[in-house]
Amino acid sequence: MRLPSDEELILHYYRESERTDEIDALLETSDELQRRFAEIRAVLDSVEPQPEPERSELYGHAVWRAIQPQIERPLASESSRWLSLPKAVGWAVAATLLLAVTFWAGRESAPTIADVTALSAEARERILLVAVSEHLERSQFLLVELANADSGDVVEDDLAAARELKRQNRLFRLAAQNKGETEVEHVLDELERFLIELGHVSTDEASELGSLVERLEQKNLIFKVRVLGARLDDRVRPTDGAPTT
Amino acid sequence: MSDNEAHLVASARAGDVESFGRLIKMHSPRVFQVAYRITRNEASADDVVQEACLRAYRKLDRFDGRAAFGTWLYRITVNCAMDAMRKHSRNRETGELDTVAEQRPTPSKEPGPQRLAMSGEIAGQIESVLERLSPMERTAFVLKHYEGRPLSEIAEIMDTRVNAVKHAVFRAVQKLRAELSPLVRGNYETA
Repeated sequence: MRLPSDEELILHYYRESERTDEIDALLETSDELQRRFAEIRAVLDSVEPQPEPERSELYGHAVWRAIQPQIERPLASESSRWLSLPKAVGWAVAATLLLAVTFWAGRESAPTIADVTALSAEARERILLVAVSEHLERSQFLLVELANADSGDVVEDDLAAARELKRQNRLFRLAAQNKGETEVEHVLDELERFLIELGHVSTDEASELGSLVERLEQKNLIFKVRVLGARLDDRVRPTDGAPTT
Repeated sequence: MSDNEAHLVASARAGDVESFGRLIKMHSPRVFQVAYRITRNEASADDVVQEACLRAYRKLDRFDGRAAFGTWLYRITVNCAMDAMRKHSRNRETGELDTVAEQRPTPSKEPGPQRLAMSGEIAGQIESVLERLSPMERTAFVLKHYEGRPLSEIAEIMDTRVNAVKHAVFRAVQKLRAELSPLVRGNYETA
């Protein structure tokens, strides 16, 4: 019977192994396994909850006092390059892209043109910024997984995810290009090139994956995606800082 | 979700801000706990809780009621905490210092000065390792080890796959083992 790996022993510690009964039986008979599991258990047992700052029932009142003004105040209007095109052209393009973006993002129901036109300028911008920010977050997850995984761990699901992200990325990149969002366009362009390459890779070719991950690290793409995502999040957030409790 | 809570959610979605406020008051202490466990910083955790509540308000129309409101807010809080950690990492990389001093927990009380010193050293090493984990590694480990969440639920909370969560937990545990194994050797080596 195959001895479990350290990862399987870690799962066993948390009672999430698929071989629980088998590992329990092996632990009865294998000195080596007992030693390995004892070490893992000793380490994880030592990681106890540390004293934490207490928050009483009144804490919720303080949180509400801090955020209530931001909820009740109308969204602050911001000058933005996103909607700086002449309305006749810019608005039609933005509405079409918004429909395409929400459809490809897999929303349960895509908004109609009437729904989109009913939104305020600020709301339309926020929707686009949030959509791009979420796209960057999903892309970052995939890139981080690739960077940290062994070649054998990259599966067809990852490549399928890359192809889907590439389709969405193209729409966002075109929107950014249209709006003169140069920084956003450049990062999305770099991301799209990588996603295109990734989508063509075969999971059987470990060397292809290895060189792709190397290029990912050389281009510092994860950092660029992360920084852009944070900047877009800051633009979505209201400009006034929330008072601390 | 209780009837009272369901009623508050319905009112909040209909535009009653005070109902949303009551929901926040009910759930803030619990989400602060998970925010602190992930960020390891009291001021950051407070900021995370506020950001999570604001994000919940903005997304209220997307809350479908299948989970309890507290569970939904918990998930938003976890993701806000991860965002805060990413931003903190970015600030460190660009040379911007976090003006809020990191707080170290006090060592747990143990009888005897030798055990006090050892438990303090272990606690210090744990904090040091947790601080160096990536946002994904730390979040996955906190939710698994401290919060006791199943891997499948953690994957749902973090909007990723179970395998990714497993790998993140494994990496976190390996890093902890590298630092703690020598310190806890007496607990597992037979005489």
